[in-house]
Amino acid sequence: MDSESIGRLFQAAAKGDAAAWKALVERLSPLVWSVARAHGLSDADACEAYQTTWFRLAQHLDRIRDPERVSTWLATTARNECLKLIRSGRKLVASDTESFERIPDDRTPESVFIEDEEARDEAERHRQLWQAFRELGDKCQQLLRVLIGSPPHSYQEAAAALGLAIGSIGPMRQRCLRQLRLLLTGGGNS
Amino acid sequence: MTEDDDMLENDLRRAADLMDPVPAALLQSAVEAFALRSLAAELAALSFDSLAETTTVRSGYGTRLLSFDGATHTVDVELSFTDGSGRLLGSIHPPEETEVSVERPEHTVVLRTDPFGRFSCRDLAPGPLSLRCRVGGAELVTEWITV
Repeated sequence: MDSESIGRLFQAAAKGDAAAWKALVERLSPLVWSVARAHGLSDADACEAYQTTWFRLAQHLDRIRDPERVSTWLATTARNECLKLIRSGRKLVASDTESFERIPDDRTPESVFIEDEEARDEAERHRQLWQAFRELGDKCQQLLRVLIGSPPHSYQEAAAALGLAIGSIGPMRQRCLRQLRLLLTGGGNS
Repeated sequence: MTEDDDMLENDLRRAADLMDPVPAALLQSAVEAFALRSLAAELAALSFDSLAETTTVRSGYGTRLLSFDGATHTVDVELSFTDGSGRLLGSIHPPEETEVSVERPEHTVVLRTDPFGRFSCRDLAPGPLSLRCRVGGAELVTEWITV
């Protein structure tokens, strides 16, 4: 979904279309969540940053001048809430600890109910990929976490979410993916 | 090479969906936030937040000062935390005696100001918060913040 269709959804929501709002939330929730996680917030704090961001967007339905840039607005707002939470003394989750170790619950029905062996192997592959990702340095984890929450090849959201120059994102992404590849292929047996 | 990068990124995207998805209940709360949009109310934007300026990480909470600006009225708020429980002191300018609704995601607490437009609230849990009041004959609602 491109920024044009996101803009259309937003405008429909501004006119009172609840289904359009729901579609917007479903489409852009991974982005807002990824910004909160990229800032190292705990589950509870990430939930709060996520909620405040969406609640605030609901208040701004008739105020945003450029509907096509809603995703950047969300990324910036989420970033600011995260920074404020960090400044007020919220504990950050260390980059190599839990969170990703939780046993999948009703939030990941696919991983719980996979019967098919092929699908199980696929899920295991993704689990290992995620584990390698969590071994990356902080900056790379931050960047990749936001990028995978955004549409492919869209760097505006990551720039807004992390306060980076948009021109630096491409080279950083390349470097970080290269490091991830090294961890996947060169890493020892787990 | 760039195709490999794209593939790896997409794989990672899929891994995030499995390993760290948006909690379903949380997404639902964002969907339901549509009802929170202030149809008839004026939005008082956050014009000052003492937490927006500082760059040092504080251990524990100090006192946080906020101001929300409406067209005709301002709401000033002072937030402080002790032992995980928050206290809010608020005042409306120009002063007006009225009811203030302290809105949280799960519930709302209704307070009454004193004759000088001042109000307070204890036992605040962390999380999103918005204030709603009727001043100058119109409904005013403050931008959501995270307490």
